[in-house]
Amino acid sequence: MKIHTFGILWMLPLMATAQSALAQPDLAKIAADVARYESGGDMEPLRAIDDLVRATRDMPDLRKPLESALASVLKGDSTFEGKRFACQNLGIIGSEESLPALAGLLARDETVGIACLALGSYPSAKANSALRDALATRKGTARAQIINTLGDRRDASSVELLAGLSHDADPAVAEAAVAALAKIGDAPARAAIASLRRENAPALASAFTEASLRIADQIAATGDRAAAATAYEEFCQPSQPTHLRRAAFAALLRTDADGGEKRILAAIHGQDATLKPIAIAGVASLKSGGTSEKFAAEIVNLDPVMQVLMIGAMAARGDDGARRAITSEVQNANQSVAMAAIRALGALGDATSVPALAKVATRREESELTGAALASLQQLKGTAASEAILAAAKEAPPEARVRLMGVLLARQTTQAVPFLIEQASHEDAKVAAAAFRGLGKLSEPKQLPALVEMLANLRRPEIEKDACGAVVQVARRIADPARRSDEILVAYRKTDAATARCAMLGALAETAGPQALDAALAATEDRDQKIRDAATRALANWSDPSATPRILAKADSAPDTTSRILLLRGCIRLLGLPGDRPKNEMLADYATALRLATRPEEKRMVIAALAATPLPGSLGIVAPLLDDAALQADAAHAIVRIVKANPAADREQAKAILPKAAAIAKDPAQQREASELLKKLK
Amino acid sequence: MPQDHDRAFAAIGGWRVGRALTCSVGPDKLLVFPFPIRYPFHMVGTTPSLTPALRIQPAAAAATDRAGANAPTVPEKGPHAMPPSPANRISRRRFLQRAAATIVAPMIVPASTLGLNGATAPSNRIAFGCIGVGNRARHVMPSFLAQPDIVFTAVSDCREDRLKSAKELMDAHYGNKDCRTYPDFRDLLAQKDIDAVFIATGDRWHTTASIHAARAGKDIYSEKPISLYIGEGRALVETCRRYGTIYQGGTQRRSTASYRFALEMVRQGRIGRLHTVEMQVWTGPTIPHDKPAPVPAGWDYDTWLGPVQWRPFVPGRVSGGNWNYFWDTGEGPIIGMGCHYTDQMQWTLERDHTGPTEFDGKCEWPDPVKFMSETPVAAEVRCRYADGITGVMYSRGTFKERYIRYIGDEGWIQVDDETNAVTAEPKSILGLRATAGVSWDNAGDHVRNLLDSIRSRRPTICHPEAAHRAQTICQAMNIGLRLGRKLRWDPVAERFDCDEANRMMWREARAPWRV
Repeated sequence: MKIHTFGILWMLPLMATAQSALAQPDLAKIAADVARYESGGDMEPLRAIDDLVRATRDMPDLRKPLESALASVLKGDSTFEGKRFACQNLGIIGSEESLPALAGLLARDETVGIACLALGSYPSAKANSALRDALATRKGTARAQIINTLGDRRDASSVELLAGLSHDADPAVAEAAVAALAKIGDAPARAAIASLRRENAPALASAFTEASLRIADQIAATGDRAAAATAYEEFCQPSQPTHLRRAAFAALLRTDADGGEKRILAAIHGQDATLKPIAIAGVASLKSGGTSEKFAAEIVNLDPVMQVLMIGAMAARGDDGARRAITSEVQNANQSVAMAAIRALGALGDATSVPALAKVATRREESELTGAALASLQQLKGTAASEAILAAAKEAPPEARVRLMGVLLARQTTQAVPFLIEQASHEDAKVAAAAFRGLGKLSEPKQLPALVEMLANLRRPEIEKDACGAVVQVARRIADPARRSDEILVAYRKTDAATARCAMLGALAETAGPQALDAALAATEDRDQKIRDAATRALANWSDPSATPRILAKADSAPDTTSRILLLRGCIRLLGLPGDRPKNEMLADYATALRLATRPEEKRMVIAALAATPLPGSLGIVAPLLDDAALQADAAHAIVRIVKANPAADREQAKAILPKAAAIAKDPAQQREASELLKKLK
Repeated sequence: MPQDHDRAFAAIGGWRVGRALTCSVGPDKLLVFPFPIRYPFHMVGTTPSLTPALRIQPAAAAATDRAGANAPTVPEKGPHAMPPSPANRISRRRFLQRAAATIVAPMIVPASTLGLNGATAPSNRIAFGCIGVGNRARHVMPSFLAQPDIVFTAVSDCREDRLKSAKELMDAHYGNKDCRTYPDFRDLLAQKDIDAVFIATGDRWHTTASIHAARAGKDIYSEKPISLYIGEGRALVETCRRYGTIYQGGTQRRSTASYRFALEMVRQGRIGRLHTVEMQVWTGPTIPHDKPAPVPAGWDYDTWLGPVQWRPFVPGRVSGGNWNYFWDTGEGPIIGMGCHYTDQMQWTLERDHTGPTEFDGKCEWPDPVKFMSETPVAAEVRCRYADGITGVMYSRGTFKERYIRYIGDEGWIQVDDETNAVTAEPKSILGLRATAGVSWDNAGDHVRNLLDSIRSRRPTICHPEAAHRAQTICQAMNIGLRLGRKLRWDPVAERFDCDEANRMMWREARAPWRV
């Protein structure tokens, strides 16, 4: 591979490369090789040329021989692909020196295209002469190719010639000539086109349309508004195709000294359905002062369809006048118009938009409009908007307040925390639950004691889940994992209320930590059955894998089957969680779990978990299960997965049991996989 | 019959079996497509998930199949990726329909009122034609068809097999035999009852086809890259302006929630003062040497080449997406994929009408002994704006490691293109992501934006100038690499400080084509 850098650093080494490449007498050989190139052949000479083009920049003495070498490829019996490659590079570095060789290519139809590839952006004006000279002998597509190139080169000397060729019997040639004249676009070219148009040749109608529009653009660019307007107005007439009318009208707006304001107003007041949307779209870019206010006054006179378009155009203006106008349409009786205004305000609005949006968002009946209003409230920019939404939430009736609290939550409005704390004790459960959800997202760890206290004093089962979730979310923001349960434990120990203790055991499961584990384990011995059940559930949902051995021990000594199964399943889940526990400890836990599992369901779970996270020694646990009729299929599948995941571990054991696993597996694909693994191991 | 268009088009993302493609389209139905789907060889070997529809087999067996001979070779995501499974597709489609009904329907304006030639008035649908119906078209088509106010009436392709199968799929979707076929796209453009076109040809055709469409009065959705060289892109901008064309560049990340979120966070200053934008496309690939061969039956190779100066038909160069890695037909991943990220960078910086002023970088070229592909295998290219903000484009890593990262003096935010995942530092930024968006490979909202613009005649979110400026950055990067030099760029005059670079801004199209 070859590495190149462009920029200063690469220069010196590459210069050296270039010098050395050119110092060797192999440039002629490289050119000869390029001349023989065909697809599938050796590309080294082509890449060598590419390298030299890079390396010889700003080195005219070295460029000359390189260019000569490329020009030499264009002569004689070189392959087409060799010539094509040379033309590509001459298009980049070629000078007048290579024009004779390129002119040679213009003399044959099959090479005119690649010659023009080089000549299209050739700096020398003499290239135009070569192209013009070739026109005399070329016909058809080759002639069109040369004409196109002259047009792309904006060769003013070709105007007369091209005007003549626009009468060529070949329509492609005639069209190319008209197009080239339009690209050249100087006064003689324009005059030629004007004259040719008068001949009214139907076959060239679209070419003249393109030419006329291009010339109108050129005139507009010179600042001659009146002449440009005359040109565009021709295409604005009702007899013209719709797309040309639209384009010409938009061009007229760009040409008008007032930015098209008068023309837009006239179109808006008129009945031309084709032009009216273009006029309204033009409102977006008008520059004069008071434009938004002026066109806001027009909204009421428009039909709803055009009102929607006008709102879009005003939104694109984005100024205060536009914002006010759009805000006033939020309550429009027409749903399409109201929707357009609501959606526009999401991007454009500010704090002043909140009352209007909140009014829709808090309507008693939920609808597409209320949803859109909530989405727009969510999008509004700035803290002032957040404060306005908070104020609206305080005033809203309970059901609507819940919606606005959702907006505050999405906006991460931390200023809302005091309000949410207050609302957490609201008598309406939906409001209280929403408040806890918001507190979970927005509170900081310093607010955790207050939240825990609220949870401890909570006597409302219907919002317990949300309150507990809030406590857990905030506790998890404490950087030190070992301290996350501290506040919950303090409150847990303080309270005697069973309901509160049960709720807090759930929170402890999520925040974990050694002390929390002690408390949960102790709670399994509590006199209160509810607390014992809650403790078992908490342990089954424990979030810290390091607790696995102690929970397994508790499962071993569980007083009833349900608790045993719950705890065991919790441990199997924990074994699958990512963590940094020593592998031998985890393996021992798997073995214990398998021993404690009395039903096939739990045994299968252990097997599946082992297969999912194979450990060295896993095979030793699973292999005996191949003899258990109820479990052997799962065991066989697990063995294949374990060996596949780490063939090097327990290699000998794997070799010993894979045949048995393959024999047990019923699925042919699994059997095949087991056999392949065995082959690899051997 | 397939129940709907999505199933029919999603079928193309099904299983490749021998030379035919089959896909389940219902509990007891199988569609068979009588042609093979080819992918760039760098895609082959990626292993997508099994479709839910095929997960009826035991998990163990399915796992085996993933590695087995029948495993699909279709990438799940990426520019050449196929749509998700029929089941997923339906779900997404329904989602989009709901979204359209909820958000957009009230804004739909009768076509006749807006002067859509009156031709679509009876159904108030915008009539589309599709130019180029290969893999990319089939991938994006469901996003079009999910829109309630679209009807596709015609397709065009220079390959008979594709044209035939596209008609079959369209007819299956609409439950009729009405889809018209045109080997020559100019005949499609001549149809007065077509309002707009979706251009999903090979890259070499994007601009030329767009310009022809604009001249014919059609509005346009064009796949990216919207042009292959800078002069071509400028011609596209001028033509669309000249004809009042509503044009949407196919850089659909502008319409994707994750990217919009990143943009919003940067613009709000959540990462402090932005100083660097990192962008990453994949490494290579390299394409081994191959010899000319007869043009397969049913291929109009002359039209396939289009504006590219003639060169012989070489299977290894034209098949699948291999044409991406040759200068005259594709220009490599920096152009083909990098334009998505430069587009994001430009948009985020609110510089849709300008661009950077400096380019420099380094690259690694394919080994000519082994490979015939021309574009870099790996690259690191920088562009700098006048205010010092730097964009760095990496061509490195695997296809799945594409990303864009905005780096400020107080943090960063990144969107992983493969997964659409957003990461950031400080992480608190992520909490502000209030809305979930559709997946990046779903151009639905981008299409919706085009349709709304067609009706309102206001510019699309990726209008020609924006698309051209984003593409110019990639093209300038490639020119710098090819010339091996640092370049200064005047974004107003659109000229380099280097004559050779300026010469590379233009390529003479093969007649009769011109831009």
